[in-house]
Amino acid sequence: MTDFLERLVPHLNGRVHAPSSSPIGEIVESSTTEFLAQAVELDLAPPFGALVEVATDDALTVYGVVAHVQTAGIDPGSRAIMRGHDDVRDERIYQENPDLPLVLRTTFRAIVVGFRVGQTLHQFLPPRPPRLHYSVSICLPETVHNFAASSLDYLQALLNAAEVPVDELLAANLRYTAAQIRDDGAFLQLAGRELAQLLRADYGRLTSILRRCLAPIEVA
Amino acid sequence: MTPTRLGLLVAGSVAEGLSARLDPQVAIEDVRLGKFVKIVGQKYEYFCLVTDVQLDSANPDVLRDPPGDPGTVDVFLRQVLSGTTTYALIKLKPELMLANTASDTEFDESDLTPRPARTIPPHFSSVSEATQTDFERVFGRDDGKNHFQIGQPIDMDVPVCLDLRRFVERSNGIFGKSGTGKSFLTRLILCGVIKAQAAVNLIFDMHSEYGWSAKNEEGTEVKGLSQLFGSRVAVYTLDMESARKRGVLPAGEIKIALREIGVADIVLLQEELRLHRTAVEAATLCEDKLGQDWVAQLLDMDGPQLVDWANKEGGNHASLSALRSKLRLIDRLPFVERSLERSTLDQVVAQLERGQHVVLEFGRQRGLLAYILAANVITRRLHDLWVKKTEHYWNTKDEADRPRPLMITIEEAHKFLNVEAARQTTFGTIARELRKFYVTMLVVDQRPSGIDAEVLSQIGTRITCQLNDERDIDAIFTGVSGGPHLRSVLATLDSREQALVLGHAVPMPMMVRTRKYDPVFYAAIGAEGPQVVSARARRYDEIFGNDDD
Repeated sequence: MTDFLERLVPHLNGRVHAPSSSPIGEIVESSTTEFLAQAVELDLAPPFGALVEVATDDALTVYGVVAHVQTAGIDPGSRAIMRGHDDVRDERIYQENPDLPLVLRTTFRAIVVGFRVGQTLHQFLPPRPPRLHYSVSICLPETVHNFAASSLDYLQALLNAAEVPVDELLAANLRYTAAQIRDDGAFLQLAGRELAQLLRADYGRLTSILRRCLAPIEVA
Repeated sequence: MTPTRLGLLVAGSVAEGLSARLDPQVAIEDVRLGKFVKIVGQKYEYFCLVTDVQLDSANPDVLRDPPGDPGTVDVFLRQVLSGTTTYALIKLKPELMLANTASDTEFDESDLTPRPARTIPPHFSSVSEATQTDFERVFGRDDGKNHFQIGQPIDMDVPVCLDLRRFVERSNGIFGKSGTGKSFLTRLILCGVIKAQAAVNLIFDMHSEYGWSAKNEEGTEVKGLSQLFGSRVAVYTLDMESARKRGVLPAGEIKIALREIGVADIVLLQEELRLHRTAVEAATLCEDKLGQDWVAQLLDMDGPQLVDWANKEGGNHASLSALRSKLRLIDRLPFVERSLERSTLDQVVAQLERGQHVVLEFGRQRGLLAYILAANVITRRLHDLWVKKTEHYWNTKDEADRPRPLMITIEEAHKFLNVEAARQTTFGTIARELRKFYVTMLVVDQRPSGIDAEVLSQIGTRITCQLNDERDIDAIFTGVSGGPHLRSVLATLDSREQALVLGHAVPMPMMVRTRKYDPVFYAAIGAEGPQVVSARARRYDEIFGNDDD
């Protein structure tokens, strides 16, 4: 299990993500194409590009790719103010202000890329959106593997996502998935080919995405 | 055996050929010109030849800004692009179509045998490598009777066969520049024809290499036909001394009497003897007035006699005199005699009639004058005889009277079949009249462009080794549909042991690695050593008596 944790979870602010079986967020806004969730703990959102799932009810599980993460004041009207002074900086600010986790929150937005009915995976939009206040969890590597192995049609959904840095999102998702699957780059090649088909008219964009996909393979 | 998929069909026409996109996992360098591929359509299967391989890209930007050096991270980019944005196209020439037995369509009987492709398969049909079964469906299997394996495709270990029965129906040609293995190929095919008893062979062996052993390019000895087939092949020679020196035991020595030479022979020798145009007229006059013995009589006339005779018969003295001096060159040939008690040609003819194969060696008489004269005198006789036999058969319509097909192998064929000679000589007649009289030719030549186009167009099966001269290549494709496609295939032949086979005896053109002429081949054609054969022949004679007695 520790091995799995190490592999799955990039370190964030020195803290570690929870394993996937336990929820990492709760849905606070839901629609057919995307949902917004609040992270269970402050600053503990799933990584950009990660595959997350929401078990909406017994039959339907909706999958999303994390496309945007934000930490801000709970009250949408008020902004956070500077709390640091003298040598109280960074982590010590949190220690001196234990109320911070109560007034701040981390939210993440996920693009809906597919769903599962029973054992069947589909990479298109689900018949109904995930339910509000249901739990979001990070997919286990097996799930990531199964999802990517079933088809790569979801890349088209990411490509069409609105109001997100699409190219960065695609690259981040491929990097993340490749790191989860760990198959010596076979997935990356397959996904690269799929992208090459999708972006056949835009060679410049294709190469810039592909070059960004590659960097973390060596790290992973 | 599941066929290896190569790609899928994306464009094409019957006239221009097809284009298929290569699958990303297929290495472009594995697909070579001349490769035999199959396309499975909805109703038919199509057999095609690869005539070109091209690089293409879905987006021209890729070519303007190609990925960097393979050493860098761009290696990933290359991997992704290859087969998606950049890909290979193969150009295919559909040659044959055959019913796709896996489809639900009902077919006529005729659809079950390969036919020339008259339509094309639909978009995105699957293109795959042909399997051994496909080759057998198209080319048949080497069964020792009708089909004879001539070689293998360039990139596969599958037999490619000639249909021997169709092969001997028409005159055939083996072409290729010097040193490309023409004579080995000829020997190979002769072995096949003899083994299958598809035709009786007469071989004019100018360089004494077919009958008895000869050396290959590496200098090792290879067996001749007579060693392989024993008494079924008789070797005759024009030069007994040379034969003895090489340890060959010929069945006899050929002598030609002057009375066996006719005007037709003189016509053919026009170039060799540098005869004037009027010489043929002079010779015709002599033959008309002096009868069969005209050559001898003309040679015997002295100056005044010739003048008298010319005046009497209304001939031109100068041209008669020139003809006479040229005829002396013939008279001086060692195998030409003033008169013979018994014509040695009769023996050869009788042997051919019995179905025995004859190799005629020229020994040291390999000058063109000797070769052309002897070949023409003998061929003319055989042609006359076979025409008579055929006419007899037409009258009686009795299968027993049907003449055996006779195949005459000649080298340096352009000497007999050039534009001038082909119109006037027996060889030209044989080449044009075709199988009507059961006599065909196996023409072996390095300059096919020197052969009359009319004769070339009648050649049934063409087996072509490497050729470089444009005119020769043009000549090969005279009267062949799809010539331009095949030209590119021919241009890629290696200089050794590769040939392009096209025509009557193969259902579609095919590039082959020719079969090796070695002990494995000797064993495969089931020819025993000469000792075994002669031992059997002796035993046969003991039981049934000797025919010749």
